[in-house]
Amino acid sequence: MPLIVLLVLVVGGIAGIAMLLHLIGLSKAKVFDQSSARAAWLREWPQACVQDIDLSQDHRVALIHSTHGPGLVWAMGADSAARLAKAVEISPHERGLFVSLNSFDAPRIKANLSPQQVRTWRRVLMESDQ
Amino acid sequence: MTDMVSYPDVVQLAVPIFIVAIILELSWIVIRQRGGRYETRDAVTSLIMGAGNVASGIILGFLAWGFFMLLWAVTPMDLGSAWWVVVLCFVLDDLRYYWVHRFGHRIRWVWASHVNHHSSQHYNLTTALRQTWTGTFTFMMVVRAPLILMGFHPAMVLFVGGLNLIYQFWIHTEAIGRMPRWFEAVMNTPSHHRVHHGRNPRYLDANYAGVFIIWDKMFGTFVPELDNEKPDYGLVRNLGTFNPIRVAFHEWVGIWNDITQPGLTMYHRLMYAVAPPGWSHDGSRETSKGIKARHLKENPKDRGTPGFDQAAK
Repeated sequence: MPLIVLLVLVVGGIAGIAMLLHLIGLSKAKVFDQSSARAAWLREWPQACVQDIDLSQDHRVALIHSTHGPGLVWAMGADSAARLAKAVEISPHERGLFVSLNSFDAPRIKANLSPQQVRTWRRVLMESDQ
Repeated sequence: MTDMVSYPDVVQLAVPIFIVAIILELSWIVIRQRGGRYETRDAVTSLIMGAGNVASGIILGFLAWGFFMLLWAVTPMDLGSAWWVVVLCFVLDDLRYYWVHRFGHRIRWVWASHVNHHSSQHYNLTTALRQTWTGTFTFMMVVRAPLILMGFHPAMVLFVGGLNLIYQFWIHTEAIGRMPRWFEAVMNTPSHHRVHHGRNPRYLDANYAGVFIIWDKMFGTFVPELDNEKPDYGLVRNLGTFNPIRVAFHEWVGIWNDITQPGLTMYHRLMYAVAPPGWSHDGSRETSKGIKARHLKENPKDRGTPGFDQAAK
């Protein structure tokens, strides 16, 4: 197959399928409640029991207080990822915090938080580095 | 020697079929409201990984090809290109695939390349195309050497390898439940391969087959899909990114970070590269064997059931 034909097929195929998926509503991010955030955490950290959960304002990120220390659960498209919060870097944005995990496979999370949550999350996440 | 052997690049030719099949599966799922899940960013990442795999083959393929032609030049064997030789080559190459795939889950250096295929939390036809960009660097091309030394032409070996890859495309779906019993007994199927993609302790390190599931049955790695335990797709620790560059290279970066830690012995550094995924010098991580053992400790009733037959005590 000529390279140009292959290129057109691949680029057109990817773009077409992406557009189709988006148009039929399959781009929606997962939204957590207490129960699903707990389940998402235990799915990845079954030995770190959940003590408390604080959901972000848009319910797409949750701060988990676990027996292994604080951690974060966040939406990955329709699914989730979870990490213990160790050696994190925090920076503000206008509606909350960016949390950088210093991890190549989970670089940065954007959490939309209330002013009270910004203070709490900052304290909890910074204490996790102590 | 058969020097003028030529076969089509079947994977490239199959690209239009892949696109049409994905649209058909998606339509089925949307219309019937069952048979799997799709999500835009996940699917796009998978498709870009597939395109990158083809590109890396075009860019780096000459390395494997040069190695194979070197072997072809030195071997005194030439089995020719009769149809039965192609069939025999296909079967033996599938055995080769089984072992490369098994190494891919048991040796971190090879896992670093293969892990991206398992990094989707979905299981649909786009997942089949989530292929490695870094396969050349695993040096698993050496596992094909016996085939060429036995007298199978390198072009034939690559041709049947392409057919193997195409076969595996259709088994990445939840839209098909189970095939007829005789087919499930011999061939790799959607049901068998769903198990392979499961992150459930029961399903870890199982069903490495490409085309013929008989290899898993022969070598003791077969686990059937249980009706009461749906596979949970993805990695033990799922990725927090859809960035294809990060998906492609994250485990290589992980190996680098581990082997360059201060205070390790040379043995530890080597083991971070070649031990099973999850190995650590201080026992702070879990291998699949450890995960199965922990599961059995918490669920002793599962001992002796499929997937836990040979688990660590």
